[in-house]
Amino acid sequence: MTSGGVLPLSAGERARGYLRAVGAVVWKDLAAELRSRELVSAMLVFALLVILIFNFALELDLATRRTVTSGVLWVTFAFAGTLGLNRSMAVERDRGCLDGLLLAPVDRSALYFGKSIGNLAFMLIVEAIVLPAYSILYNVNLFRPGLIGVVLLGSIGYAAVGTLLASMAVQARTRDVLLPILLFPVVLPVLISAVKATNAVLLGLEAAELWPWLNLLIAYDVIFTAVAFMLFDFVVEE
Amino acid sequence: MQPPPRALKALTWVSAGLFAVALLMTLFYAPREAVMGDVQRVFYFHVASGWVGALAFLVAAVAGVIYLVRGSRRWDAIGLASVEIGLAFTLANLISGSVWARPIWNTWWTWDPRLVTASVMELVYIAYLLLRQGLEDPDRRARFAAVYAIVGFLSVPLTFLSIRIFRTIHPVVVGNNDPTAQGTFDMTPPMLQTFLFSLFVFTVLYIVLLWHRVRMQALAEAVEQRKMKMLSA
Amino acid sequence: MALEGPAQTFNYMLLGYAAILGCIGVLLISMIARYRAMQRDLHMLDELEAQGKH
Repeated sequence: MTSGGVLPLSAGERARGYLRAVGAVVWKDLAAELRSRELVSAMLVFALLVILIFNFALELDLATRRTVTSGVLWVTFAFAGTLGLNRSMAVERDRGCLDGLLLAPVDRSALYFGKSIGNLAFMLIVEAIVLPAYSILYNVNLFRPGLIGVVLLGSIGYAAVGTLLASMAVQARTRDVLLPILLFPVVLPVLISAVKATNAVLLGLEAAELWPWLNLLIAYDVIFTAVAFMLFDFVVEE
Repeated sequence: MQPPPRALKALTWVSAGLFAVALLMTLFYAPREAVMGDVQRVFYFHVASGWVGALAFLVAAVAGVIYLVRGSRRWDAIGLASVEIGLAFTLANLISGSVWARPIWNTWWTWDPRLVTASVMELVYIAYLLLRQGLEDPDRRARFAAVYAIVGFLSVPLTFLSIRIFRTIHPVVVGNNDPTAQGTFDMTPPMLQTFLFSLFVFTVLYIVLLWHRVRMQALAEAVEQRKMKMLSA
Repeated sequence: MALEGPAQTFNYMLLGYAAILGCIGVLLISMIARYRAMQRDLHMLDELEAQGKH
């Protein structure tokens, strides 16, 4: 990695270089998105449409609304998330950015973390807008302290495994339909736990109802971030 | 393709024989269950199929890891073969489970952990095959399939865990001595013998099918190569 | 209650066995069919190569 006449980097320097690489990838995506705003607006419009459809699909009185909110929110996030993941990875491929990034003298995993943090950021932005919107449209109070934590944990798990699978799906012929098919069976534990945890938070249930789900979410996040990070190399090598 | 090695030929015949014996055991040797009647006999092959489905999944994941580490195409073939076989046996498990549920719990489907997890496993199998179908380059196809087999395999126990926390009405078979509990039953020794024997026979069947399928894959690749050569000549 | 005996579930039993044997059978048939197709392809390739050599 280093050429002949240069001194080898110290551990601290390498760590900083790594973080800078991750930051560079994240910043690239965020900056591009700031300029064009295509991704987030597409995700946002889609999410709001889904919420709208749910309003007609489920005839809800006030009591039912409270119990169903959690599920509706996470279905919305899951679908919008798929959109974002697809676009995010497709952009890399179409513009040839991926090849450029791969040539950089940095560990492939930095690329993985950069992309997944970027994808996570997009999901969080959309969620930050959808939550108040839902709250207003459905007259449900979503301002509970634990909610942000649960949404964050769920989104981390979703983005961690979604980034890996999207990198694969985007290289296949059937790219658009393939990602949901690959992702949804595998991300079910996240969705289940997130829905139950969100439900526990929103209905103010006792801690014993909440903690098993939080533990599952954390376990899933850790396991799948580690696994995806290790496997990402095999997905982008040419 | 060279003729199958003697070991495989022998094993094939043996497995067919064992299967016949197991079938007869479940139908005639095992006693009729007191509450559920004849449909309970399906249980032996139902669980054995589920077992093979899970085993096939494990083998596919392990084959995936070995493929990624070693790059030997044979392990990709083992993974693919295992997934195809697992797909069939998991489907057998699901349908037979549904058929068993109907007279016992008066429903074709229940949302309990084991059934749902088996369905998710089946969906991951199908996704694996669809992923392979969408990729042209054989090297990339093998790599991605390996990655997905690993990811899928790791997620399924977590799925099971998450659903487990819900109430279940799936029978707890071994060790539950409360016969009034819905859908459970105590296993008498002949039943236990039939059960274990079925598990054994299905495992042998899996190995035989896997072996044959992997050999077929080698042949398929040879045919593909010759076709490519012919087209480019 | 004790004299009622086990439930009459014979038909369901048949259905269950049919499902399991059916799935395994379809797998076998699929494997055999693909194998035959490959053999045919091989023969065809052999013939084409033999023709090509003239």
